[in-house]
Amino acid sequence: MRLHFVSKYPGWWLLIPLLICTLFLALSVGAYPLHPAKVADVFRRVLFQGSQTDIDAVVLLSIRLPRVLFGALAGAGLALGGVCMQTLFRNPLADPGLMGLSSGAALAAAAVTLFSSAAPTLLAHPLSMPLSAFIGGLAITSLVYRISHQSGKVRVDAMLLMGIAMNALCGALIGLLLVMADDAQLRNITFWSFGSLGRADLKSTALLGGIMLLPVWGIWRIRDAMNVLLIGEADAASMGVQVEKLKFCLVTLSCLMVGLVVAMAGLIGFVGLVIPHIARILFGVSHQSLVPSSVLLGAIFLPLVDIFCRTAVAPSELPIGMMTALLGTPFFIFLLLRTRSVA
Amino acid sequence: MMVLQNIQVSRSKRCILSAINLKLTPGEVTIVIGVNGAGKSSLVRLLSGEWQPDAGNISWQGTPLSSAPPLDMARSRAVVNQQADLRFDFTVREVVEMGRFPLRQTSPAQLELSIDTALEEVDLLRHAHKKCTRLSGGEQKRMLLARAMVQLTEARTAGEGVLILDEPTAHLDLRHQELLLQSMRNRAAEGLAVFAVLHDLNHAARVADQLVIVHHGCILKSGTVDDVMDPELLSGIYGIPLERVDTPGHCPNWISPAPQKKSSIPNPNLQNNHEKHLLIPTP
Amino acid sequence: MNYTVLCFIYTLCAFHHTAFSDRIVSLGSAVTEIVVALDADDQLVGVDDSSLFPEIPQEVPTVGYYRMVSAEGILSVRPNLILSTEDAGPPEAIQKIKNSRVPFVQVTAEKSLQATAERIRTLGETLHKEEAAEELLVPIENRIAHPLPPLDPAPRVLFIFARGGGSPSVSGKGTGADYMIQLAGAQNAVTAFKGYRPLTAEGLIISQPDVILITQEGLEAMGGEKALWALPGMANTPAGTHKRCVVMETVFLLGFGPNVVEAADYLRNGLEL
Repeated sequence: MRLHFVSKYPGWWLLIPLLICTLFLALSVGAYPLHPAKVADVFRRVLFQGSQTDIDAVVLLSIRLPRVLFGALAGAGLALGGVCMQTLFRNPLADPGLMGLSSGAALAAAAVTLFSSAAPTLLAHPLSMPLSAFIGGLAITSLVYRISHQSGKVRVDAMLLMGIAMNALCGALIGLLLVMADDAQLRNITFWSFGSLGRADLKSTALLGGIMLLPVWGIWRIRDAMNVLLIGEADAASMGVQVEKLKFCLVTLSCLMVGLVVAMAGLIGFVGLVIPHIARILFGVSHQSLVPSSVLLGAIFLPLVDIFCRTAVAPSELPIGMMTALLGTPFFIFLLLRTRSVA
Repeated sequence: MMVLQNIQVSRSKRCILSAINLKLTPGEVTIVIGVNGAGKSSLVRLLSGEWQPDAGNISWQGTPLSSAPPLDMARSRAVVNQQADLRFDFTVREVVEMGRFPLRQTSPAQLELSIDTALEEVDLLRHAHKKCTRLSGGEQKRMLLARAMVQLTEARTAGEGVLILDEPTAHLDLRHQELLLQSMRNRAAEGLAVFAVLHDLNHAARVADQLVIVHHGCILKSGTVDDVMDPELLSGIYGIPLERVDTPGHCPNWISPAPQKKSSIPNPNLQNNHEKHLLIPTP
Repeated sequence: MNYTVLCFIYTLCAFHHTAFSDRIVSLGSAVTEIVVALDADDQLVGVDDSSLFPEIPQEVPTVGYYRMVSAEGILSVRPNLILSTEDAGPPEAIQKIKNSRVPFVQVTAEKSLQATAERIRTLGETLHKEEAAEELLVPIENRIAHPLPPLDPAPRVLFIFARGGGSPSVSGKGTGADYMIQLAGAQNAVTAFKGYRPLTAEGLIISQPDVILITQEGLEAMGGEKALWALPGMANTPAGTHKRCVVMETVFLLGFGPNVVEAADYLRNGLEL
């Protein structure tokens, strides 16, 4: 396959060095003072002298490094999930939350918080929250998918309406749970829903990275079919695209990625909507460039936002879900205005 | 060769097509005419594989259509629909290039050539870098035709394939209508079977090797242009009086006599009691 | 010479694992309250959001809600001791703090006299304020050893928990409020369920409370006593008819800190009238 770059703008591969710089910046900045020189020193010591136990190394290696890597992976996963949804619904305003993924996860998380005292052995386990959120998100999405499945075909407009209905239903059920919650549980649920990268450790980061390889590779392989799908389902079918299989792949792969991120980090919205948009404006609409550019832009965006969340009110933290919305919108508007004036 | 045998299609308990028997011969242009709602577009959907017949069978080169793998069929058959649903800002060239999706044996150089030739044939080469959403309806139509031509690159080399077009001349200006009709003839000359639904009787008469009239879901008549185009038959179908006018050195014209209206203001458009019409010289 | 000896001795002390901790992070208001009561609040360098006590100096930063702390944030204030309740979280952040080898002491979060005593004892040992801790423990251990008899007749008390804007809830069994009601010698008007449920008119009438127990902050959030007595169904209860309520500050009633016996006595007095 030839790679062809949009002639007006630099290729997406320029994002790779930008990502490396962002990661290094994120490692060097935080509430705990760790200047770039110290960061380099810790890495050098680990490379040559094995594991270190001083506090600088602990902060860098077991707190900041997993968090930054997790943020990059989460950003990439959310952005790619957004690309899949926008292709599936053939609408640049589609978002992974449309299929009920986020609200299903939030409902499951709220239920676990509320009922953890009722079944302590099962529900008080630290894995119970992310696992339930993941299962909850997938369950709601599967329901939406199944109900829109008629005579062997999935009707995308029906799926959109079902997603809206499910979001409303989950919201109502969450409201019901909130009414029954006591103060502590209420705050827990609220904080979970704001999203935080602080729960990342090396194990969960490695898990996310490992599992995400499959959807990323899968989506890269079907990028041509995704391009063709954008022209219309009937046209795509006449060009040899197996449309139903493709739709199923898009739903499954994006839900896997986004579901995992939401389960581990809470609700971090807006990334799946804004990043692909920005990627399209900068690097073109074809999935040939959209897929890698969205992945890289997402991986750059989230750690940058997280730097702000970690440092603005240090030693406390701002919830990243709120910040993605607050920061993403004006930047997107700025980019849109700039492109319009250039064109 | 695509063969339809005893096709019956019903939707929502309504019979849309019945007793359809049709052969699409390689190298021939088959044109379907008929009034609105006769079932012409349904026939297109059937041939494109979007609809399955309730009775009868469709076969391509002897294999039933339903058992042919989608990618193989896409290499041999391309469809140009009435309308494009374009929501993303692909460039014209990117859309036309999507036609390469089913191709397997085409080298990048051959592909580039095919794209360039297709764009030139539909007169869009100078618009190749324009965003497809900024095109007019007619330009989008031409772009879809170019894409279909790229999709059939390997079929054209092998000399066997089907090109299906649904009202391809709609929204096109005169010049581009001519280009399109010429393009259809070119594809037939390459060995493809071309199938198109047309509304303009004159276009149909000029370009068809096999002409089919669809009326109320059935094939009323099919054959050569001279066999099928009978003034009485056509007037009966369309519900307006039609005449054929032959002018030496020009293609035959189907025209309708002017309506008799009592008016004190003479109508400058009337000429010999018929509406003015443009004559097209024989190619 | 003396100076050198002093430095040497100080350095030796610094290496001792129970060295004097002057940079303390405290998570959980129960813990912070005890730290303040033991007069160690000048050693605090970080507290959580819920630990808002007037004795804590303004400059001490907060490290977030105690169930959602930032590991790096806590470590950035360079504590040499971290105190918290067992339910601080998230678990991943707590694990990272433990990995950092900074001394980390967790106490039970249970809401009872015995648990309060245990907290005071543990924190007293950790902060080397055993004497002050013993003083605080006296009334608590007395009350454990010699519990007061229930009030006769035992009034039915309904605890209403109100948040600003949201609908109020009532406490059933097994909550901190339920414990305090029983400690004060009364009975919970609601025994049909555990935990908190929304307040309803029917629920109010069925439970027939003699006295309403409500927090200061909750009463203000509802709109004052007028709003309380105007609740639907309230007029059909003895509490509503006689307009009997006891108002206490949230931390005083539910803090389960060193003044837990004082709180129980205050409540008992209020109910006896």
